[in-house]
Amino acid sequence: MYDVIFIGSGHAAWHGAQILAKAGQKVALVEANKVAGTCTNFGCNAKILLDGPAEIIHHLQHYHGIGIEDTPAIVWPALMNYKHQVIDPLSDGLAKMLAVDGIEIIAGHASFVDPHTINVDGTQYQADKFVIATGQKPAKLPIPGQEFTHDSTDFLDLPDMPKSIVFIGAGYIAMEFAAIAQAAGSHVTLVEYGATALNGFDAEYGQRVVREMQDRGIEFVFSNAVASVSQASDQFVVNTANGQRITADYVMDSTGRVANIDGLGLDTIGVDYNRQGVLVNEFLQTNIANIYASGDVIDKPIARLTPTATFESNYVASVLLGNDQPIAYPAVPTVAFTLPRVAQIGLLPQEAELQNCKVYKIPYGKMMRFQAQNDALPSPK
Amino acid sequence: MMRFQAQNDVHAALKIVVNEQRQLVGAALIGDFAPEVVNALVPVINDKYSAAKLANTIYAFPTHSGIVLPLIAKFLA
Repeated sequence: MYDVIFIGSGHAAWHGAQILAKAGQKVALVEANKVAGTCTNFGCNAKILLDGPAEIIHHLQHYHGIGIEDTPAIVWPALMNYKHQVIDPLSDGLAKMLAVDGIEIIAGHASFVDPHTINVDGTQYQADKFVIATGQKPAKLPIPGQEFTHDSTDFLDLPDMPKSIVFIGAGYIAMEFAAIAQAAGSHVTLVEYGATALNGFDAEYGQRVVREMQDRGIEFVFSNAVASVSQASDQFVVNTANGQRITADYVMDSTGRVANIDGLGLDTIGVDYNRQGVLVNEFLQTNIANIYASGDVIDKPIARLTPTATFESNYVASVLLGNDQPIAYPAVPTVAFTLPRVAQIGLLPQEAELQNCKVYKIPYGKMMRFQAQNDALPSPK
Repeated sequence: MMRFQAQNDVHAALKIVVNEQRQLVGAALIGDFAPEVVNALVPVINDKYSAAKLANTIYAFPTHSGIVLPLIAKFLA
C-alpha cells in the first residue's frame, strides 16, 4: 500500500514525488515508456540540442554582407550522435536520483481497477492517493495514408536528414522543426489547414516569422486541408482537399497533441475527462476525491509547458501535505524556438483593449541599429 | 551608441501591455533576444515593478535585458 502513486514520470510527476518522499510518504511512479517523460526524452531537451547549430547559422546570416559570407553546413548524423550521447543517459540518471529518495518506479501501463487500485501489466498496486500525470501524445490525422506520417518523437531521432520534408500543420512544433530541418539542408514545406501560422502567438510576429522562413526557401501552403498521404516509389505525396500534391521524402504529422489517457481505465472508475484532457477543480482534484491530475493531461486554460507542469506537480504535493489554498498561477512566459524566436508573457497585445490596457510597440532592433532611440520610441500616454 | 549590441537583428521588436495603473501586465517579443528577455520581464509583472524600481536598478551593459528593462521604465507609473 502506497501513500501516493503518480501515473507518469515526467515533470508533472517527479517534482511532486520528490517533495512527498522527502516528507516521509511512500511514493511510486508508474511509467509505460521512458522514465522522465516527454520533455526530457522526446521534447524540449532534444529539440533545443538539435536547434543549437541552426540558431548559430541564423545569427551568422545576420552578418551576410557585413563581415561573414559563408553559411556552414550541419553534419546531421554527427549532431544526432551527440544528441544520443547527451539525452539518452538522462532517463536512467533521473531514475537513480529518484531511487535515492526512496521513490519506486513501476515499469508498465497502469489501468484503474477501482479508485484505490491500479493494474500494471498483471500486478495490482494500491494507494491512498493517485496523481494522473500521463501528459499528451502526438495526434494522428484520421486520413488515408496516416501510416506514412511520422511524429515529433521520430523527427528528434532522425539518423539522416531527409532531402525534403512536408510538415502537416504550422503550430509551434512544426515551425521549430521546419527551421531546424531547413538549416540542416532539407527542402521544407508546411501545409496548414488555417490561414496563419503560430496560432496563439502575436499575429504580426507570427507573420514576420513566416516571411523570414519564406526568405530562406521554406514553402507554406495555407488554407489547405490534407486529404491523404500516398506512396510514390520511394517518396510520399501529400494530397490536399483542393487538389494540391506535394511530394517529399518524409512527412511529419504535426497537427497537435492529445491527452495520453487511452487504456487508463478512467471510464471504469468514472473519472471525468473530455477531448482536452482530465477535468480537475481548483485543487487539481478530479471528480473522484482521492485522484488528482497534473501537467499536460489536464483540461486547462493555462499553457501546457514544462514549467507549468512542474508548478502543478509541486502544487499537488503541497495539497497532499495539507495546503488548502486553490492553485494560483503566476505570469507564464512562453517561447516558440523558431528562427527568429518569438516569446510572450501575461496579457497578450490582442487581448489588451478588452482589459482597458495600452500596448506600446518598441522597435528594438531598429533602435539598436540606427541609433534613433528617441525618434523610434512611441511616447507614453 | 548601441549599434554593436543587437547583432544586426534589425527586426527584433517587442510590444508591452500596460494596465490602467501603468503596471506591466504582458508582452510579446520577436527576435534573437526574445527567450532571455521574456524571462527578465517575469519579475516586472509578478512583483508589479514601478518605473522608480527599474530606474534604481543597475543591469549589466551591453546586454539585451540591461537595455530593455530601463527602456520600458518610462511606460510604467
